[in-house]
Amino acid sequence: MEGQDTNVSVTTAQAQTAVDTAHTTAAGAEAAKPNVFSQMFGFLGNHHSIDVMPFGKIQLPYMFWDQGSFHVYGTPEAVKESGVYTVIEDEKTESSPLAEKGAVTRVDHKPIGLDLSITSNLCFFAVAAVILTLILQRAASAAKKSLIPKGIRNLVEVLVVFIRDDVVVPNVAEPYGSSLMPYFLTVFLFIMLVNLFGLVPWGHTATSSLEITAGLAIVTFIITQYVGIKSQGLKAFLLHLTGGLHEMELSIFMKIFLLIIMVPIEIMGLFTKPFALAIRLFANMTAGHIVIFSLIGLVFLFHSIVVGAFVTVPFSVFVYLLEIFVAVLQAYIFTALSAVFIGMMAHSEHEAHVHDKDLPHAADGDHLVASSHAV
Amino acid sequence: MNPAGFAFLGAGIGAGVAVLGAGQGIGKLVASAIESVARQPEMAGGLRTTMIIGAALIEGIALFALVICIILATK
Repeated sequence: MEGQDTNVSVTTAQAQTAVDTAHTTAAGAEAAKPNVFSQMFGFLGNHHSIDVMPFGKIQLPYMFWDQGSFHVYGTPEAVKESGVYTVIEDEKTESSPLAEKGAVTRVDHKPIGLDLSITSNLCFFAVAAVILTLILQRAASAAKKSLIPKGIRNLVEVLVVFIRDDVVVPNVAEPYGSSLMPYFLTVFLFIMLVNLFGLVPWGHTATSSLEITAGLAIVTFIITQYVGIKSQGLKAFLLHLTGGLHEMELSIFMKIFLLIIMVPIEIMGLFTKPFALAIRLFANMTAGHIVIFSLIGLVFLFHSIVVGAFVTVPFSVFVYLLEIFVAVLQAYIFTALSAVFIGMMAHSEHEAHVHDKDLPHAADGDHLVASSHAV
Repeated sequence: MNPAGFAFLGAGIGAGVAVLGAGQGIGKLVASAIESVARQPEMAGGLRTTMIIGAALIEGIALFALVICIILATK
């Protein structure tokens, strides 16, 4: 294990020379320096700058609210010059083990108030939102002018109709289906665009950070509970937390015993759904990048240009193409599962609704059943 | 071997077992879905949607296990 570690721990600069002059052993004093894998995985995280590789970096401002005042610094050097704040250089420090590399901290190791920096994730999040607005605005204005779809409107219409007919209508009962339609469309198109942004050069996948996927999942969670309470009423909503126990004919001791088990499980079930949504999107968007980085890392591990040409390049291209598919698929899955969860909550109302409206029809059905029995 | 080594070992084995289970589950799911589509090709659209949602739910459970492993490995 030790030997492998020292083999892997090559700094990028040394690894590049190692590729040229084959079989240069880089083992030795590099143990303290970051190894190539952790350095590459560092690119996945949230940064205070956007890498535009051959042309350098675009520095994003540090902004934070601390001690009752708002601080803005343009560069990490400016943060360090202030004397009060500093930027974390190591992966982990003794005082704040959870702090990320590149985050702002106080020199005296007290926690800073509220970090509101525009990071690379947030930047691409905003860029995706602006681009989506522009595209949809254009499609909508084209739709007002003529009935015949053309150009970008065609694409938007295909996606909108797909979400409406295949995701929302079969899953979410009617009064909520059409009123929540904009939410599902927004979630689908937005997650898809953000996911695809990670695949363009210099781009960054905002959905590969847990904060952003958790934010999206929390919105779904709030809507699910809102629909649940609104469609079933507060009493039925709370009763459903007992897992249908109130309808069973059991002795009172058995009921109390089961309640103690069922209620915590049902309450936990409420929270695991959005948690799984957030983790699923985050893990899927991160995993593809990690696989590509690992394939690139093989070049540095074997110090061989042959591995680079015949393993890394073809497999990376394959994984990259797979990632395009996964980016769209995960957006669809997030939307579909949101629709299923919300639809489950609206379901009981749906049944009652159908019974009320289609009463003559239902009576007909009963009549038919009765007659068939008679025959 | 120190306790941290055991933690890493546990994380690695745990990740492997979780993936094994998820692979078994998704494999069974897709096998049945393909069988159904072969019998009733006109149902393909609905079955695909149901299959993908089912696969996503299985994947979610596997990801829970993997998160636990990652927490164990990065402690």
